[in-house]
Amino acid sequence: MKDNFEQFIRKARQVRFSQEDKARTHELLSRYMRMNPARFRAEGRHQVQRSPFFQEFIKNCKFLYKPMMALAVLVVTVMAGGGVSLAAENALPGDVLYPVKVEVNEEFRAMLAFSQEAKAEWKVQQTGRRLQEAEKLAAKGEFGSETAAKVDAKFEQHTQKLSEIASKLEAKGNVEAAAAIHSSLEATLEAHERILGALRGEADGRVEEILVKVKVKTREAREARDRAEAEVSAKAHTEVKEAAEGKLGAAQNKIAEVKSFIAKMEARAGAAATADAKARLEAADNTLAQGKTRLEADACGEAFVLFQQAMRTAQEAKSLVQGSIDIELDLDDEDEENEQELEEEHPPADGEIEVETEIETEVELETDNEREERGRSGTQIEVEL
Amino acid sequence: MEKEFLEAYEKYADALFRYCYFRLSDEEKAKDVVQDTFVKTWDYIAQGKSIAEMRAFLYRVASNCIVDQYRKRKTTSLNYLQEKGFEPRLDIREKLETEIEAKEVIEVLQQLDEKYRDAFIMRYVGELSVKEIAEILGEAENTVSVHIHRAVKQVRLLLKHEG
Repeated sequence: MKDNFEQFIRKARQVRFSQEDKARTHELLSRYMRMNPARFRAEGRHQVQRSPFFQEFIKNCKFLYKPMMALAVLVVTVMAGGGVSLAAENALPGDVLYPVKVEVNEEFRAMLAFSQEAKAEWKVQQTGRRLQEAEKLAAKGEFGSETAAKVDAKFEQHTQKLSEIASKLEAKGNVEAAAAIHSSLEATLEAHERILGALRGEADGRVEEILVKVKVKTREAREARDRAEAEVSAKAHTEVKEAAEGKLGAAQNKIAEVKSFIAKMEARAGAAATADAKARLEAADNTLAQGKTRLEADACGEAFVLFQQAMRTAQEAKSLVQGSIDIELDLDDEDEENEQELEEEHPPADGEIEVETEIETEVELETDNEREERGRSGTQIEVEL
Repeated sequence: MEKEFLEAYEKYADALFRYCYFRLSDEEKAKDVVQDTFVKTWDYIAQGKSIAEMRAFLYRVASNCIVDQYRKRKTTSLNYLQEKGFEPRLDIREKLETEIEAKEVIEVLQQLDEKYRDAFIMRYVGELSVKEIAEILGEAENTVSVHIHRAVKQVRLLLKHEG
């Protein structure tokens, strides 16, 4: 008996991290450390970085072979003291640091995702980022046709990739994950629909073009989500129950995350946007409660659907706050279609939704990624060539 | 500092992976968590904070990440996993033998009560002290001891029936 047990423990301890994976993570870690160097030594002195990041940079970016660009980056690097990748987070197409944002930061974050679900979630965020950039540019009146074409191409590319990942997961039988992807994309796109809708008139109809495409994808995502949810509900009872319970946890997490996000951004987003977001969050809470009741009544398929809905509503609240910070705007919803859909999912708000904000001159960080919620401050860098 | 950190990685990554693997029953998620853990730990260090006991710190961060994973998706039964094509894949060299053995281990572990299982894994796979486990789980040391003890009993029983 004792032998069996010891043998058992020995077996367990034989499991090992594969050489490949271990080395890969080591490499990733090294790169991450170089991009996010320790700014303070344990003694507490501020460290001036000579930036090995620069060498890392050259390895990764083709555009640096232009001498002027290299000079610009060098200046930026020295000034920023190694926090370049962080500063790049708010770059827009056309900015000096934009290639850093896309080719370094985003590449890196894509690499950090091991599982298919993590990859997909990052892709959803990437899609959102492209739309957010378009919105910011349109609000500034700088949304040109070349940029519009690029945004369009990227949008197609990302949503296509997401479709593929979801299909692969469905083929493996993991419909829950596929449903989650569709739901996440749906929420992101819906939020951007509203923001783009408010910018309709801008950029000679280019915003309108993108809006149309986004609407199509939103509908596709919604339909795919419906199908996936139906498939989940059709599974064996224990599986559906587990899926619903898992989703409950995820929804609770999401709501908590958005709650703290709103609390942090309240001052910057302004009273109206915050109030609206809070109302949505309340709606999300209600939907969650409904889901719990269904779960207790053993209607697990319905519960799963409701929990996903709660997550989407919470995500929308977050995107609303983020959107109102990004652009100075009245998010008056003149689009009847949108209003109808909103009413189906959310309790109707009082009157129209108005958002008043001031354009911030400080650089804000996207707090989509949990990692960035440490609350590091970025630096605004402008380089003239 | 960077050098020390990477040394710590080389030293602890295997055991940490093992720990995550058994608590999550999922190789991919375990890899995600291991990576997350070291990244978050580096963030902590990069802010100038010092870590007294690296190993304990890593396990604490990992445990938090694992809880997050639990919330995202409840760990499913082994049968369900097998239907979906879950095969515990491991280092190629020792593949066949260790695969089978790992599967056996997971099968047994899956039958334990969740509370007992976590404490058991932390003690026997993670090799954490009862005190450390109590801190991480936020439970009294006594409770942890009881859980571990009960887990061992259950495991012994299950191994007996396996023949």
